[in-house]
Amino acid sequence: MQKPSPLGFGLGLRPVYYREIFESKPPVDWFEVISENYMVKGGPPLAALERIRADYPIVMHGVSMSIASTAPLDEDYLAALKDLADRFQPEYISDHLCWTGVHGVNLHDLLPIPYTQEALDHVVGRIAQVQDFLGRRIAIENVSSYVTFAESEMDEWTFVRELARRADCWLLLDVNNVFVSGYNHDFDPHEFLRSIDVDRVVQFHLAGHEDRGTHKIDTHDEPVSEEVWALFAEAWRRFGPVSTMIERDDKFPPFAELLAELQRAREIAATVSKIGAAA
Amino acid sequence: MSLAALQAKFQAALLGLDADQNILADVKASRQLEPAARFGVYASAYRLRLAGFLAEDFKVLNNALGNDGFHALVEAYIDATPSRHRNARWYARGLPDFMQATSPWNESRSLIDIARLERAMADAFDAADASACPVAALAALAPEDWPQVRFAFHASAMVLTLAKGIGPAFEAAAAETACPEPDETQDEFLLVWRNGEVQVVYRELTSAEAMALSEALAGKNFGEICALLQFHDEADADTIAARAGSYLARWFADGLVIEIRNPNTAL
Ligand SMILES: [Fe+2]
Repeated sequence: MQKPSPLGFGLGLRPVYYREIFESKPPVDWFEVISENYMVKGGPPLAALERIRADYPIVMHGVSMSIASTAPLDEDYLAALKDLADRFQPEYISDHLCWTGVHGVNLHDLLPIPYTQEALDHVVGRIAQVQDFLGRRIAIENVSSYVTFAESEMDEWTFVRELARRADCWLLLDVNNVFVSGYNHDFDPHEFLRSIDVDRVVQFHLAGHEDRGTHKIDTHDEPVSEEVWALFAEAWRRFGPVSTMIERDDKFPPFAELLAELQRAREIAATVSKIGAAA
Repeated sequence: MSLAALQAKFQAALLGLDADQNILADVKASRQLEPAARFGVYASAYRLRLAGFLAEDFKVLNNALGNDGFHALVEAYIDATPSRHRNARWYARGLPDFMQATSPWNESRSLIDIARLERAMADAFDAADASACPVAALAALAPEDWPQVRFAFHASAMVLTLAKGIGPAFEAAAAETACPEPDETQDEFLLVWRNGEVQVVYRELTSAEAMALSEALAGKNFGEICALLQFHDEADADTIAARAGSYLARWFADGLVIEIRNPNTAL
């Protein structure tokens, strides 16, 4: 099982930065694009992606697969995803370990699941269907969550590890989500990291969150927190080198600030790698 | 409980259909937070997210209604309309129809029409790409072929019938400046399209041009369009053909025409 080669250090592609990216060709190794933003017939979004793709590798990251839903898989969505991938040739395609609705409703959120054997069997089967349809392995991301279901029979990390093994898929490890969920569910994020198989993790997400005191919310509207940087160093030590990127979805700062954050990720990774090599 | 039953229950609670909050029995407390507050993170995020989609696509309507008025509309729309779309914009595009069908918003044609114009512009934004056909291509048509010729238009092109003065009212609301009230008893015709693949624009049409363009968009041939114009204006045939020709020249200049379909040369 050969993991896709690490792409380096990337950013989430967001329309507010298109112009700056076109004009300055910033030193970003790759971009992650939100697949749904380009599932349109034409116009500026697709034109922008054509331009970006000419200069950078991309990965496609979706929010609508609803892999853990008990509703039937949306075949139109999967067909649109495949068409988009055929056109833009991403390194791989990812989505979240969540559901977004049942009975034809879309709740537009990454909703949590109980960590039960039934849910595990269900999601494993769905990933197999999707991977068959797309003809490629997909990467599944752990989400931030805010409720613990009484029905859960195992830890989130056990669920995620077993899922990846049984479905034979990649994992997109969102380091901020591990931290946020650890806080919200009273678990040790290091234990999460230690439990995941090294050969499954193809990508890291870094992002900021909001601290509400009693809980933390995955807002992507702030810089990466100090605790998450520390956890990233830990993750790099265990899984690195892994394609790494920063997600920013609101309160957009000047692009230079994101580049500076990305530089910090590079430096942490370099330091950890150097220590690892010396040991 | 099965995964399907849990998801149905969770969704019902998010949609406000679980008055007894049965879902809370399935949620454990964390060290710092009770089940109701934990579930509440999802409940408030759901409404905020949908409201965000609507605010994103109806900025001008928001200005025209004011924040409180827009908020009331958005809350009513969210209550009445769970999303059935993966694309946020497809959810938002139902708002003008909701206004049309729902009191008190159905009492203001002007506000509904501002919303319709804003929706049309959003639709034009990511309509399918196509290159404009050069006007020189018309020179290849034999005079006797003209009546049968049809035209294919850029997918973004739309003719809207709105209250008189919506264009200026829309611009004023966008710029947050004052403007005379539209005349809801009179019509105004606006053509909305995406120009050169980058910019969504609109311009006003006379009623005759609006009729001619609507027919052309519907696939009518040049002869049929002239006949309708004649019915509209009762001028002589040469005057009508000249007028239709001038409209056509303008449509080419606007980049609206993407193909000339001449049945006499089709294979
Ligand atoms: Fe993420």
